[in-house]
Amino acid sequence: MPHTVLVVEDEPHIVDSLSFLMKKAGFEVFIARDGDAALRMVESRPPDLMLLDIMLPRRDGFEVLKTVRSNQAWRDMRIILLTAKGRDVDRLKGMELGADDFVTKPFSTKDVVRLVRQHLGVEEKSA
Amino acid sequence: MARQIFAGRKIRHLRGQIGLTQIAMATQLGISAAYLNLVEHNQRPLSRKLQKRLEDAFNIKEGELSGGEEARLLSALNELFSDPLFDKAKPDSSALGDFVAVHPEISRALLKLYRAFRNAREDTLKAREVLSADPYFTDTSHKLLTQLTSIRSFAEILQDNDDLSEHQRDRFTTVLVDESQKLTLMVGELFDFINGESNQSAALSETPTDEVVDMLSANDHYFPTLEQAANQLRERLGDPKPYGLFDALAGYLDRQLGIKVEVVSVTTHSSLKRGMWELEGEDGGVLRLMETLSVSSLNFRMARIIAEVAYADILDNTLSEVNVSGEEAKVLCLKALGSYFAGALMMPYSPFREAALELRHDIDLLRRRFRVGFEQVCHRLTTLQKPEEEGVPFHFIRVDLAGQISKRFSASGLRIPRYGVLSPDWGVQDAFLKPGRVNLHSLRAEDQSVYFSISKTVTKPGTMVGQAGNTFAVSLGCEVSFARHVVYADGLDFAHPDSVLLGG
Repeated sequence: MPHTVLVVEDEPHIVDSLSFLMKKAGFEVFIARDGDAALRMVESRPPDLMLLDIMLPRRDGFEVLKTVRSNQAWRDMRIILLTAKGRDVDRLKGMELGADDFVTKPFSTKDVVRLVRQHLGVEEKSA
Repeated sequence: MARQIFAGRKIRHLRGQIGLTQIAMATQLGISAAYLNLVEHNQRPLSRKLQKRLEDAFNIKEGELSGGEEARLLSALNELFSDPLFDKAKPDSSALGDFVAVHPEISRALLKLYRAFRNAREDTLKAREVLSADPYFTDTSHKLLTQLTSIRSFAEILQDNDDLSEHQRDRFTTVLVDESQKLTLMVGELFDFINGESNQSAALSETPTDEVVDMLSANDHYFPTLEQAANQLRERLGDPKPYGLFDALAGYLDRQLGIKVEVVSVTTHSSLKRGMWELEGEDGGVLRLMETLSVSSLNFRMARIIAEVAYADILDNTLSEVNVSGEEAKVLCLKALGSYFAGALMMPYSPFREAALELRHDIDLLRRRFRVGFEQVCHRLTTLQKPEEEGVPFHFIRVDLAGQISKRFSASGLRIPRYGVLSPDWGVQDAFLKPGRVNLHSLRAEDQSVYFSISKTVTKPGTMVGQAGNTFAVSLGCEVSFARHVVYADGLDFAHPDSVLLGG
């Protein structure tokens, strides 16, 4: 069974590129375009890892993070935040709320794939 | 007791400039060379008698030798060099003393230069603060980062993946080109904004909210077509009494527009798509409203939906007649016009204006008569600008606890700041100290006009059980010449305003 990755991002092109990369790396990919949809998807099928943008419509990334981390059933889910350059406070807040890691926009796709593999304990080319 | 003056450096420098030996100068002054030597090396203080002789003999300005000016310059230069700017370059105090004594003019010029630098630095910091709080910049930086991320991602994907299908390659390349073009446009706009060169920069210097506020102001906060449309709907509804408005609006939505209204429980619906409400279905559908909303808020939401669905053409026509350029501003403008329609429906112009004058703008009595909220009354009062049937010109401000302005309308002529937080001098935040009570305040503006205002807290309900609502302070005010129409101003002395606004 491939690892599952939930991409939570409202910008369609970023969703497109991340989803391409994750699939290419061998992961099964789900997409949520806002915070409410992300939580619904987590409820119905918790992913192994979530790539979570902070600035989301309806319910922002912090709210999603808080909700996920408050549920013991999802404690093993890895969460990597997509933060914006110059917004150190977002990164600090996210890590405080229980994120496992972060990448800063504009990020390198290689870094994202490497980080996802690292958190899921997957060797390159064996995913 | 007179302080002792040591002016050795200065006398020595003077002697050097004139080209006299110690003996020659001492002879001219009628003192011994040995004594002059002691004075020059600050071993003896400068006596009043010798100071006078020096001033007379060498045409020195009175007081120049006494060091008062020198001490002031030295102190100012010490302050200058303690600026972190000089960090490791601060001269030692002895050298600084010598410099001030010998070059007072250069010292003064240096201080002038430093003051100019300090002012420029403060201006820069203020500008940076304003820009960092400016929604235009926050929004633009987010968009720039998002576009850069897309471009970088697809560029790397194209570079790293030789096995892409032709379709994928075409698609990704198209995204790259499109996003690069958008980025170019955005950077261009940003430069225009920074340089203030283009016509567009005037619009860009404003947030979409600013554009809407300016549009409302340009129209004197009054829209006759929307007033007519709201009156027409009231007639169709059978001119309902305020307490019958809910049923009338819900009935109209159901029968005329096919939209069922459901007031949902906070325990079964922890959140709706738009926070306190949601409209589901495109043709007809269901309008869900949270039960925690007040009746006036329920009515307002229904009225706005009716405006947007049944009176869309009137809103669009009004939009096309006003001066709003940005897409986001147009969306906000339509919302503002829809809200205007809702206000006009709930508080019809003529009866509301008459009641306002009759009740002398007692907001609580007005809200009871029309079954509306405090903020709704305040807002509607700013729109009573129908020619020949004007109401009192009011301004209206809403701020949060931090003083951030979330709503501002000024028909009173008072200039309300666009940027940053509202100064406590405005008195609006005083409302937070006495929640729920009406606070009174008067202030003198930069142009010396005096304004009177009331402020009060209003709380928006939370969307979940146990969730506290958001509390704001709202303020309604007018120029004091209209204060006699406002019951809250009775007995107040406007000759001495509570605060004076400096610098706007």
